[in-house]
Amino acid sequence: MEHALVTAADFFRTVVREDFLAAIGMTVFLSLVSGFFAILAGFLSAFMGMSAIRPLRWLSSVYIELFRNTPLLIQLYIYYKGLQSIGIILDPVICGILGLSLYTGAYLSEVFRSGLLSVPANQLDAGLAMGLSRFEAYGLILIPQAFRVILPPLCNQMINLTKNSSLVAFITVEDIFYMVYKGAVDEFQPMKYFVIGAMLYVTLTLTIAAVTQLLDWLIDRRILRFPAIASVQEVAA
Amino acid sequence: MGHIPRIFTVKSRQESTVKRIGSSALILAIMLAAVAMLAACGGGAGPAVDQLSSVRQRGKMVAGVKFDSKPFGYLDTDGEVKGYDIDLIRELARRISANPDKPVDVEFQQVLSSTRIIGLNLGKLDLVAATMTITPEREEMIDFTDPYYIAHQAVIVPEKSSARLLDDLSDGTILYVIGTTSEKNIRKRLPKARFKGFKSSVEAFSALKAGRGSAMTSDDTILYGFIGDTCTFRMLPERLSDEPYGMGIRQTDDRSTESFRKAINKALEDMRGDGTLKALEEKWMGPYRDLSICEEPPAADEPGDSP
Repeated sequence: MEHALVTAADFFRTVVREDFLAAIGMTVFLSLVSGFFAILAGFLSAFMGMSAIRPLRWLSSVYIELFRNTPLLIQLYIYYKGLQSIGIILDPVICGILGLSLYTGAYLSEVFRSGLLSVPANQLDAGLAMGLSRFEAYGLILIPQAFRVILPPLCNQMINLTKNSSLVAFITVEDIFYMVYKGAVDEFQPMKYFVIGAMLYVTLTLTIAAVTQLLDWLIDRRILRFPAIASVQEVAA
Repeated sequence: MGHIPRIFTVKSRQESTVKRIGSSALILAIMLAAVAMLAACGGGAGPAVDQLSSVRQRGKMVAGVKFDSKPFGYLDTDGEVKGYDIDLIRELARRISANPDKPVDVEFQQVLSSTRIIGLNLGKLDLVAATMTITPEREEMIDFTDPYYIAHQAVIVPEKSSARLLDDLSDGTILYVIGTTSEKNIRKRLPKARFKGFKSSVEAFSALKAGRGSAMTSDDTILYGFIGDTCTFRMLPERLSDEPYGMGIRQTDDRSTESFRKAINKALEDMRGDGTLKALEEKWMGPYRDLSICEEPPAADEPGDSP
């Protein structure tokens, strides 16, 4: 029976192993890149969802419902194995980024849409009345105000994204979960490795939460200001 | 409208979130410690009953075997598990039975390379015969019977590959199965190659078929099974190691599995002596020994056709 008590020494000795550092790097890389594309997809879909053009709204809701209502693991297997069977062979890492971005993007779309809708409509009208173009009104007035509303649920989704990224281990991407599983099997110590894995993910997600807090705090103290707000103030002046 | 309760003001919302992160980290640390302690308390306390008498009394033993490793243990098209390991266990069950006319029943359960040792130690299996090499690391976790077969680690490539020798693969991508001895050997032999690990040999082979790697390594026994099915792959001549297969038995402090292991070893020795092992090898490995089954049929040289 394995010694189940995972000491801090166990944790650090394992984490600094070269293969573990690479795996942590892979999870961070996947989370960052997929996070970027998810935000992009989310914004695109959110604006499409609020568009005056009906087919765009349909497209957006089809995207959201399709990707939000199917398991991420199935989506990943479709990119990895499904496409493989019809002759399209994608690198597992690409499959992972594709899967995580589109899946998280569907959730973010709703987050962004509700954030943008939370800003009273007359703010937009006021901006337009001041002679701003629609693009400027969105960028200078709507988005900066919506950002404060969006930040907490955005943080939630980024945390989910990081945890969900562990599923890419099933399509042979060598991330934290993959290394943890391999360690558990190679050294017959499942408790040690899975607890270490849990601790690693907690470290990553708490970091995301801390960064969000910092961002919120900086904006609160007016240390970090949207350049957009500054220029609106100039326009107003 | 002027009165907004203090609880809804921005400042207090922020304080509470900061505190929440702090306290959740604390709770988490306590939970992890609790889990670790629980696990430390659990386990141990294996069955004090002697395993051999228990198996004989039950008239049944539970064996962990591969379901994906033809010809050692595989699920046939009729849904039944067959192979060398299966025949071996059935024969052993007959020989260790107290009453020779009434062999011990065997229930076969699937194990993977990555689950076979843990499965054994969970106490659900009496015996594991799953193309498992006897290694010092594994001997710290489980007990082994005497070796019953010696396999060799080999490498297969697609028929169209330009690789003729192992060294031709020095910058290729080699696929292996997690939890096997193959990984260490191939990493040492081809230090510059890239590697990809899979949970089962079937997954690794299907990735090789899809072109996700340049070669796959495993025991020749298992690789023969794949080659024999498709004939679109070939095995490179080099063998990386000897892999003496042993059966795994639970390791206990109270030696309650010792007589079971001795009985199995005695039966194995008898089977080696009376030619049963040889016959088993002939039955399951014989068809593969002659690799010509996988050679391209000779080019159509019907003399009449040529002008």
